[in-house]
Amino acid sequence: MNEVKKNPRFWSGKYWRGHSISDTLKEIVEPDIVDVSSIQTHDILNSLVWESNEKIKIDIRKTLLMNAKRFIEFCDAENLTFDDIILTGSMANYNYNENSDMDVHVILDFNQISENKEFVGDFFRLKKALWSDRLPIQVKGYDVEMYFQDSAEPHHSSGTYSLVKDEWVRKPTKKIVNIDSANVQLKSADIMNAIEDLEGNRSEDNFMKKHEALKNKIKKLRQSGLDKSGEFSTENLVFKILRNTGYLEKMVSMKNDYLTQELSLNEFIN
Amino acid sequence: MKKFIVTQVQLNEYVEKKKSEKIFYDILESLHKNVKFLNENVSHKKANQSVVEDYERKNLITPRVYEMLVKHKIINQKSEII
Repeated sequence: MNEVKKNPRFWSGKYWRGHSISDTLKEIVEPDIVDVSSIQTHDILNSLVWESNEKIKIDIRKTLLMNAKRFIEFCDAENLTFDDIILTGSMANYNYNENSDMDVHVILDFNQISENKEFVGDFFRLKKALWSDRLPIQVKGYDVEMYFQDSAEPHHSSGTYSLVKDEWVRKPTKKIVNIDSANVQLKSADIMNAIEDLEGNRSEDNFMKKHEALKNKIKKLRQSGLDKSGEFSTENLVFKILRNTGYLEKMVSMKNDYLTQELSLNEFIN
Repeated sequence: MKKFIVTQVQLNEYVEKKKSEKIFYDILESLHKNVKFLNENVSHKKANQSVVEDYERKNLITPRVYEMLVKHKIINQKSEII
């Protein structure tokens, strides 16, 4: 190869001839433009779900319990023993927003199904995917997310309502949550840019490796935040922002696109 | 060195065959896991049926995969676990 062509300056020049600097800068996600409104907290629980005395509305409880019953039957798990069926997540707390789900957790000892907990997790994920695909249920305009939870699994949510006992297991406190919005915006923008970069490098050979590394980074980031400071930790809020703004979905679809392309054969070879 | 001339049709056929085999063996592995790990509390047959339905949901049961599953008596003509 020509000596000049080995020079980074040659390649840099070649790149910038085809890419306008102002266009590239426009694509960069600035922290200031990251919308954090979806992580703000409310003064009261969602009035579509809760009575003013903070008891769940009768029709909501009945519907969610019926959903859980049908879900258990669908998963062929009616012979098992359940500890509780709970409503949890942002809908049982003050941090709900228009993208919130009704998170209904059916709690049971996974050992009843298998000693291999990882297998049980996969088993229920598969059942849940089939269920959600066939029955995209909404209650009062919110998606219902059913989930089997191992009784030994630690639960991070500060709001947990037992649908079976019709009482709070853990009542959320209306404390003023100190959200470091600037830090959330900064970290969110950082990961958004990493996702955008990854999307631009879809044709690279090590795309899958980079994708996996970024996915693990986001996963670890969220887990460390939950372990350290719970659901209002900066890291968990960053995760929520990424989910609410469609960046996590973008990661899934770019991986699927890559795999589809890799497994397809369009070239004519003679 | 001997030269082989491969047509696009042959290549597509080969890739399709390999893809189908991979999906088929993935399904077999999932069914095997059900037998290996599931306790008697849960029906193995229903669990296996869910595995097949999940692959159907993802549009991975191509005619060739379906043919292989029927041939090996894993499902019947109605895609039900035997």
